[in-house]
Amino acid sequence: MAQEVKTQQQQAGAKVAETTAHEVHHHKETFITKYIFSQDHKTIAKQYLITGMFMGLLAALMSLIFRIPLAWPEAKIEFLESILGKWAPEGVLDPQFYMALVTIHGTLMVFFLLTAGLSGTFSNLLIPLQIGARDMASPFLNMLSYWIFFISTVIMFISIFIETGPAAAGWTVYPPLSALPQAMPGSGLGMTLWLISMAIFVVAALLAGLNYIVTVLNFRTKGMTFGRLPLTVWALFLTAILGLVSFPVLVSAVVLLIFDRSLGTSFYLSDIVIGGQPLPHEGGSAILYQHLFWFLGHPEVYIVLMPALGIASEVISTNSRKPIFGYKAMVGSLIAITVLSLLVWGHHMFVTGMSPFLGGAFVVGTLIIAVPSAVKVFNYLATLWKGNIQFTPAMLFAIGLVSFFISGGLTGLYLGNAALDIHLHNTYFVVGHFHLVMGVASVFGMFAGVYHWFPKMFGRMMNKTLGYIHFWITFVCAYMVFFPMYYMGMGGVPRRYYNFTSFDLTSQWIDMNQWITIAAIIGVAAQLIFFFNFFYSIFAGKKAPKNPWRSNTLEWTTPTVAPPHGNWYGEIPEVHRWPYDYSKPGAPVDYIPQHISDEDLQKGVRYWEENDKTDDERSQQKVTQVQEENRKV
Amino acid sequence: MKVLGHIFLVGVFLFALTSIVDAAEIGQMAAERAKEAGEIANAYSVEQIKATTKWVYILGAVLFVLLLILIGQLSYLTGLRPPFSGWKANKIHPTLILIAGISGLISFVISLFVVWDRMILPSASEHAPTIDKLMLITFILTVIVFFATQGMLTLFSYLYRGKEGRKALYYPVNDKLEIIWTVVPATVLTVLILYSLIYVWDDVMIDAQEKPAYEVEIVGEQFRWTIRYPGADGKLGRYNYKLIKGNNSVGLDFNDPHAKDDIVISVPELRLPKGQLVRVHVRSKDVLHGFYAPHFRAHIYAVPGTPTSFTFKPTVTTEEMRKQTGNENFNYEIECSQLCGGGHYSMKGTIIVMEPEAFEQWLKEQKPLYSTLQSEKENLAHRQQKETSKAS
Repeated sequence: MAQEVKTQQQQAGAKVAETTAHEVHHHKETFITKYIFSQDHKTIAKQYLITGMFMGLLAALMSLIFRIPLAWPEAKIEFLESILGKWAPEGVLDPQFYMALVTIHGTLMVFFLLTAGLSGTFSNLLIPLQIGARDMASPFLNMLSYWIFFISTVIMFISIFIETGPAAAGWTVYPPLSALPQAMPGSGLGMTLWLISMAIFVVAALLAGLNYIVTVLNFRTKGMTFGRLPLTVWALFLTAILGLVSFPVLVSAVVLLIFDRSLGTSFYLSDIVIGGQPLPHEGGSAILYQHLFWFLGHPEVYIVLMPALGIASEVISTNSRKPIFGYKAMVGSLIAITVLSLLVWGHHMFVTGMSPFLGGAFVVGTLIIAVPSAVKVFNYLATLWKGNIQFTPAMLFAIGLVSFFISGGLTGLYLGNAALDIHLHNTYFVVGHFHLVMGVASVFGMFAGVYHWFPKMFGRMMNKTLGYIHFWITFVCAYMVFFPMYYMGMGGVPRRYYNFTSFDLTSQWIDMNQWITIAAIIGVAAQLIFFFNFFYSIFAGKKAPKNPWRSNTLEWTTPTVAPPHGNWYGEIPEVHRWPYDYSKPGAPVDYIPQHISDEDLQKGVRYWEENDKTDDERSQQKVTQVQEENRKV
Repeated sequence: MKVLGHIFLVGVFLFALTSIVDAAEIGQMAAERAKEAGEIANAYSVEQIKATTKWVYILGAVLFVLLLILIGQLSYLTGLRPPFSGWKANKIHPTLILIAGISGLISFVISLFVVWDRMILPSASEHAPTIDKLMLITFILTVIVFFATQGMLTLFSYLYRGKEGRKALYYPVNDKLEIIWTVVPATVLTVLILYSLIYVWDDVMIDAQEKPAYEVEIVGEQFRWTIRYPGADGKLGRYNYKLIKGNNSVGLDFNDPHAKDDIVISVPELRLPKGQLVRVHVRSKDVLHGFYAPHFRAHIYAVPGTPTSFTFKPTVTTEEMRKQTGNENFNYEIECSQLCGGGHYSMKGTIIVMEPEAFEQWLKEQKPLYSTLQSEKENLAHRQQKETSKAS
C-alpha cells in the first residue's frame, strides 16, 4: 500500500516536472533568463561553481600574502604596499591585517568554496540528473537560493574593503573579541558585515537544502529506489539533511552576537575591562557561543566532506571499472557520520574550562566517528583491488582524496582524544589536520567532480594533460605545505601567530615556514593552470562524446551531452539496476547503465555504439533523420 | 622509441639523484665553512641547516623528477613528441603514484629524524610523561595504519592499472570483511578511549583539581600577563573586575583580608616551586586568551567572567632544564593560544621553576600590592598636604 502511494507520488512528481519542463521549453529564453536568473538546475550549478572558484582563488591568494611574514619576518615587499596601502606600510604586513586575512581566508574557503561551491554545485547538477528528474522540486526556490547566496558573497566581498579592516577574529569569530568593536579595528563595521553576510548565507543554504531533500524524496524516476541511488546522491542528500539540522543554530549564534554588539545585551559577555573601562555586561558566557558555533561548526566539516566522499565513490568505481565495494556499508557509514557528527562538537572545547566529565563524553563520540570513516577508506581500497584502473584526471584526484583523507583523518585520533588535546589544542597540529582532512580532501573531491562532470556541464572535455599537471603539482605541494605543520604543532607552536620571532619555541621553525611558503606559492600557481583549462575548455575544449567515462549513472543517458532545461526530450528512462554494474560477468562490455534491463541485454541493445559519438555527430544524424522523414512525407 | 624513453627516464633519474647529492654536499660544506668562519655562533643552527638541506634536497628529488616528466608532458601541447610518448596515461600515472608513494613514505621517516629534536619537547611536569606515553601509543598505532593504508593505495593503484584486455573482478560485497573492518577499529578505539580517559584525562583534569595545591593566578589582557601570588596566608583573595583601576590591575577587593597580602607581579614571569603541586588560576580581563605552557603539557583558556584553572606539578627547575638541553638561554615559555587581537603573536610569558627554598626566599622579598598602594596613597596625601601648606 505504502509502496503504491509512493509510486503514485513519484509519478505525480515526474508529471509536474514534465509539465514545467514543457512550459519552459516553449517559453522563449532571453539572455537574462538563460544565464542570469535561470531556473535550470544545471545553470545554477555552474553559477555556484564559478562563484565558488573565484572565492577560493581569492582566499588562496590571501593565504600567500599572510604566509610572507611567517617565512620572512623582516622582509619588505614593496608591492604589498601598493595593493594593501596602509595595511602594509613599507611592504611589511600589519599584524591586525594578518588576522583579517586569516579570518577571511577561512571564511571564504569553508563557507563559500567548500559549502556553496562544492555541495551547491554538485547537489544542483547531480541530484536531478542522477535520479532522473527534469529539475529540482522548486526551480524558483533554487534560483532564489543562489541569488541570496550571491548577495551574501557580495557583502562578504565588500567587507574586505572597509576602512577599519575586515573581520579579524578568526573564522570562528569567538566573542568577546568579535563582540567588542573597541577590542580591535577589525571588530568594527567589518565584523558587522561578516555577521550579516553569514546570516544571509545560512538562509540560502537552508532554501537550497530543503529543495535537495524534497527532490530526492519525491522526484526519483521509475525504478530508482533508495537502494539504487548513486552514492553521490546519497552523500548530497545526507549533507542537505545535516545542513538543515545544524545551520539554524549558527543563525541563532550569529543573531545573539549581533544583539551583544549592537543592542547591549550580555549573552556572551561578562566581567570585561577594556581600555581601562569596566563594561556593564554581566552574567553572559563566552563559552556559550562556542557551543552554539560548534554545533554547526563540526557538522559543517562533514557538510564539506561528505559530497567529496560521494563524488570519490562514484569516480573511483567508474574508473576502476569495478562496482563500489560494500554499497550498503558505504551508505551506512554516511548515515553514521551524519548522526554522530551532531554529537561531537565539544571536542573543539576540551581546554576551554568546560567540565572534564563532559569532555570525556565528547571523546567517546569523537573517536567512534573514526569507525565509519575507516570503513569508507577500506571500501575504497577494496574497490581499487583487482580493478582495471583508468587514470583520468578525475580518478587521480579521487585517489589523492583518499590519500589526504587518511593522512588528515588519522591525526583526528590525537585531537579527538582530550588528554592529547591538552598539548595540541590550537597549535599548528590542528591547522595541518583540518587542512588535510577537510580542506585538501574536499577540494580534491571538488576537482574530481569538475573533471568528471565537466562534459555534462559544458558539452566539452577539459584538457587531460593540463589536468594531469594540475594534479601532480597540487598533490605534492599540498603534502609539502600541510604535513610539516604536524611537526610544528607537536613542537608547541600555536596557530594564528603573525610571526614567529617572539618565542624560542616558534623561532626555531622559521626555516620550516619558508619551506611551507615556497610550496604554497607553487601550489597556488598550479591552480591557475586549472583556471585556464576550465575557461579555455568551456569555449574551445574537444567536443565530448555522449558517455566519455563509460559510466552507468542516468546523467549520461540524456539525448545530448549537455542537455537543455528539462534534461530529457522524451520520456525519462526507467531504472532497472543499481548504478555499479561494472565488469559484470556475461555483459557484452564492462558497464551496464542503470536504464538497461536484463531483457534489453538479451535482445542485444545497441546503446554502447551510440555512446562515443559527439553532440555534433549526433545532431548531424538527427538532421539527416528529419530530412529523410520529410522526404517520406 | 619505447626503449629510448626508458633510457631517457633512467638517465634523468640518475642525473637528478647525483645533482641532489652534490647540492646536499655543497649545502653541508657551506654550513661547515660558515661555522668555521664563526658566522653562525650557535652550533645547533648549523645542525639545523644541515638537517634541513638534506631534507629539502631529498624531497626536492621527487619534485624534480615529477617536473621533468611534466615538461615532457607539456611538449604534447607544443606538438613535439616527447621521448616517452609511447607511455599512455595508464602507464605514466601508476608509475608516478608508485614513485610518489614510496618516496613520500620514505621522506616521512626521514623528516621525522630531521625534526625529532624540535618536535618532541622535553617534559617538565609530573603528568607530562603520561600524556607523552599516550601520544606515543597513538603515534605507533596511527603510523602502522598510515603505512598500511597509504601503502595499499599506492600498490593497488600501480598493480591494477588499466591494461588492454584486463577485466576487473566483479566483487561488489563481502559482509565478513565489512564486519572485520568495522569491529577491529571499533575495538581498538574503545581500548584507546578507556585507557586515555581513565589513566590520563581523569588524572590530569579531574583528580588533580581536587587535591590541595599551592594556588597562583595568571591574568590575561591584551597583550600581556599579570601574575598574583597568595602571600603569607596562602590564599588568593577576592577580586571584582569593577575594581580594576590604575595600579590595582587585577581588581583586588581589599575588604577581603586574604587579598591584603596578595602579591601582584606585572612582569610576566610565573615563578613556581619545584616538586609542589600548583594550581594556576587563569582569568582574563578583556577577551579570550589561552594559557599554554607546552613543556608542562598545561593548557587552559582564559575566559572573561568564567574563572578556570590547571593543576600540575613542575618537576624540573629552569636551571636543570638548561643543563639538560645544553641551552644556556632556555626558558619555559607561556604562549597565548587563543586569538586575542593584533598582538596575539607576541603575548609572551615565562615560567621560572625554582628550588622551593629559593622560591620562598624570593616570595618574601616581594611586597604585597595592598601595602604598595597604601604607601602610594600616603605619598600622594603627603604631597597634597605639602602643596596645600605651600599654597597657604
